[in-house]
Amino acid sequence: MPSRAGNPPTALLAPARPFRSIAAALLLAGGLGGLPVHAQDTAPEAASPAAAPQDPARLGVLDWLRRMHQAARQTSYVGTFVVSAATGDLSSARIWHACEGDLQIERVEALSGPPRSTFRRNDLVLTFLPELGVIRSERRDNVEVFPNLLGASESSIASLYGVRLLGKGRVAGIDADVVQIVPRDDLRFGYRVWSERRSGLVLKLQTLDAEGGVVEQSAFSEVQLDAPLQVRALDQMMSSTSGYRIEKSQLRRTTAEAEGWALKAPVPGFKPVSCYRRALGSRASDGERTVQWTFSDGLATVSLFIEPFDPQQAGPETVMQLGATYTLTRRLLAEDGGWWLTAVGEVPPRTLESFAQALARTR
Amino acid sequence: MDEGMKQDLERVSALADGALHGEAFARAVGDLGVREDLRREWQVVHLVGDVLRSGTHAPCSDSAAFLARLRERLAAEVVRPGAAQPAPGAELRMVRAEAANEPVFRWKVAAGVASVAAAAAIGWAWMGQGGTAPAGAQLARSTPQLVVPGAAGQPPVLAAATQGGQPARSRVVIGNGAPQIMLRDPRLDELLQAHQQASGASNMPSGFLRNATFEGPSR
Repeated sequence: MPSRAGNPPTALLAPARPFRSIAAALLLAGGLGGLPVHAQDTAPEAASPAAAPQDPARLGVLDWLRRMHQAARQTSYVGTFVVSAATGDLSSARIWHACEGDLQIERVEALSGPPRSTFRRNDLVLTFLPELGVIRSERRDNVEVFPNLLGASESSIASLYGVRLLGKGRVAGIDADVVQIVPRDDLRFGYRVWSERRSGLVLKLQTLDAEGGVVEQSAFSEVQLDAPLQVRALDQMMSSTSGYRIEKSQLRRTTAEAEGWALKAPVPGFKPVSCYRRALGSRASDGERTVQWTFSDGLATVSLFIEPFDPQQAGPETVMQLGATYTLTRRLLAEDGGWWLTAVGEVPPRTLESFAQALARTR
Repeated sequence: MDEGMKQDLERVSALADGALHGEAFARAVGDLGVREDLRREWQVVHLVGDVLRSGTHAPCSDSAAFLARLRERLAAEVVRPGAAQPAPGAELRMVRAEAANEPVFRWKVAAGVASVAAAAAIGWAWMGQGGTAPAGAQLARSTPQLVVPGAAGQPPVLAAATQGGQPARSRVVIGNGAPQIMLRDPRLDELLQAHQQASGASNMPSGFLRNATFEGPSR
């Protein structure tokens, strides 16, 4: 019953190492508050070659991204994560992340909005919605693979983005390298990343528009690295599904070609990664009538949702923004009533516009 | 600064706050009319208020020039005798109170937390300038923000939040617990989820945490 009870984090602490965080707390209380005393400082040095970069200034964009992804796969931590959008919305969640060999397990307990907790064990994602008594179950594509092998290749990421080491910073009391990932054109956002000095773990991330304005930012407000977490304890919580109804998304794999869709001209840098047919919303009973065609440039993703035009369902043609995520809706005219396109992506609106312009029916 | 001067300046501040009434009000306005130093203070008080409230001051450069123009226009105004004039009294005062009150309320709030407000203005101001976010964005603080694409090549412009067809309205508690009306479209949320599901690793490494944290109020 993870989300209903909201178990305290202490339940997850391994009994064998209970005093480390207490020791750190005592040190802090003892007048050393000015020094960055953290649990990981007292932990034995586990310096793998990958964790110790040669010269941060020399790393290329792929070196940085690989380092960040590797850190996410190898570091156990507990923390509070905050996401804020330029419009002023603020969301936060408590995060537990444990690793054991190839197994990664994560718990995200939302602290704002309706109660929900999301568990991820490798590519399996379960979202507990206690108010509805529902668990949403889904498999994420290639969640462990970087770069996404189906999408952009390594070399194309480097051709689309450059990197600049901005200097040093501190997030949640932890020293970080500040790195800016700079897009080479205006079809994608830039990123400013605070990457933990030793492991490379992303502690803070800002998504930047072409003018350098922050569209969205996320950061740990507090985090304990190398937390003594047990994979087993999280796994047990994830398996406590009694009392919930499990809903799986209805989808089947297809290809754009088979569905009769193509791009007249490719949108620079974006390559198709997957195509599904989905059953969605109030029309779910009608079967999988929505085609989802997804593209990636290696960092940003765009999904095109195409369905037969239905005047009852379709809203106005607009562009909407939710943090760094933009959504464009557009009616595609055709003899038989046409189609309704919803393009969604963490990209500037002009990129969605390019997709909408390029999308064409092949039959 | 002598005590009398200090009191005079405080009275200007109180006048700006709308805290003076009757005799005190009339005297303060009278003094303001004849004393240049008090008019300067009057302007400073408003400038500080503007900055605290909005992070920028109102584009009014010179009140003396404004006054001169106003006098000119008043002189040029044709006075139509017989037009219904409000009795100089009750109604006039009421209008006055209303105009002065609303900003006063905010001013007091801002003054009470002056240092905090100033710090916040510095720390957060740049967030509001977010690139394509149009100037009116702060007025329509609903999420998702509705933006209507302009003509080809034009930056998008903000549309009235009510223009969004028939999105479901739901109350969401954000940040400090202040309830905010947000425009949510359950169908759009569903597409957003499907999009996130397909995103996989083609994301920044913290993308999954972001998606799981920053989710809409509906399912």
